[in-house]
Amino acid sequence: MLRRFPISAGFTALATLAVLAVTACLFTVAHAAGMPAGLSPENPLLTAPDGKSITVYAVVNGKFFFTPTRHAVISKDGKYGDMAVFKGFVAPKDFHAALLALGARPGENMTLANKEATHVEGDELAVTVSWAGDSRDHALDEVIRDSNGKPIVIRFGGNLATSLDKNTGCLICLDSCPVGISSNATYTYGAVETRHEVAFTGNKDVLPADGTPVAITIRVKK
Amino acid sequence: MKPMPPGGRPGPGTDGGRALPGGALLSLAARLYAGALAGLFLSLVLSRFVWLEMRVKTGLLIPACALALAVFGGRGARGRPWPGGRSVLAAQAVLAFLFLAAGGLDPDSLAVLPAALVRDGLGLSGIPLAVLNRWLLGAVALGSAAWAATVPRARR
Repeated sequence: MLRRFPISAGFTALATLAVLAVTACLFTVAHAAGMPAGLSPENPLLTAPDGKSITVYAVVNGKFFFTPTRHAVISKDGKYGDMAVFKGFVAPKDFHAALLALGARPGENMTLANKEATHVEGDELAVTVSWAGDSRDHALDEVIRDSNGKPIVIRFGGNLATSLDKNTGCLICLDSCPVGISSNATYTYGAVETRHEVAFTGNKDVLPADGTPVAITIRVKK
Repeated sequence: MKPMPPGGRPGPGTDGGRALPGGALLSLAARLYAGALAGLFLSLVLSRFVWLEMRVKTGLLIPACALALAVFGGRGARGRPWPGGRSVLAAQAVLAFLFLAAGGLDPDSLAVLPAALVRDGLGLSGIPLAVLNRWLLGAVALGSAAWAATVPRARR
């Protein structure tokens, strides 16, 4: 014999609240405002009028405020697009070409064979991050924490052929990398993932909330 | 009428051994939720291994475990006791503590880590965590209620 299942008023109230919350969320619209003029998901790469810097559109991935990563910026269309502090909207090929156009010299010294014993070479790049409502640019050191407190030294590694072959989408890696277009010369490959010499996380005390668009500006240090 | 199993509570979706109207749906929701909690636990543990986390979205374990329990949990639970209504609170409390610990005891980690793993697992990469958290609150309320409702009244 079937008996009517007792559903309490509390259960009904909880279910109603949940449905209302979900409905409200469906009407939440996020939008990018206050970014450098012309920079957008559809136009994710700008070159400064003086030709001395490029700016890339990206969004913050809050996951890496509390989860270690070895990537600063990865293109959203790459295999590892969701595994960096910043999800970039520019393709590695375009990023590489823009750096060459700035006059940056690629190191091209990293290979899959020597990666664990080699520091990336190439011109050093100054990387800064800004976002809407913020008063100044922030150096990469400020927005990404190195557990050892060492400076992040980004160099233009090159690696375009390997990058296209692996399709990881890596634009800026946090240890010397044979795949990323640019990477951190402070550590050799494996420092983060296998030797655990260092842990990198996004600095939640400085960065805006998850999903916030940011402008990442890169110039060649001379 | 299903018989009460010897020495234990009946499975989800029954009341004292009797099938309930809508019980199958509640049972399914409870099993989905229990699976999602288990998947959340596993994905949190595995996400601490950086090598793995940089190659695989460990959050995929959340829908995988939820589906596994939804599909196979019913057969497994038939005739076996379903954890009581307080178990869901205990499971959530333990998970919350683990997320807090993973975030260095920073309360903000509770608003980031679970939603980030769910986002990865469900392939919702375009949705900000703030939005996802509101959805998750609804899911927690519904899941907890479904879990609690599948336990016979006398045993709650």
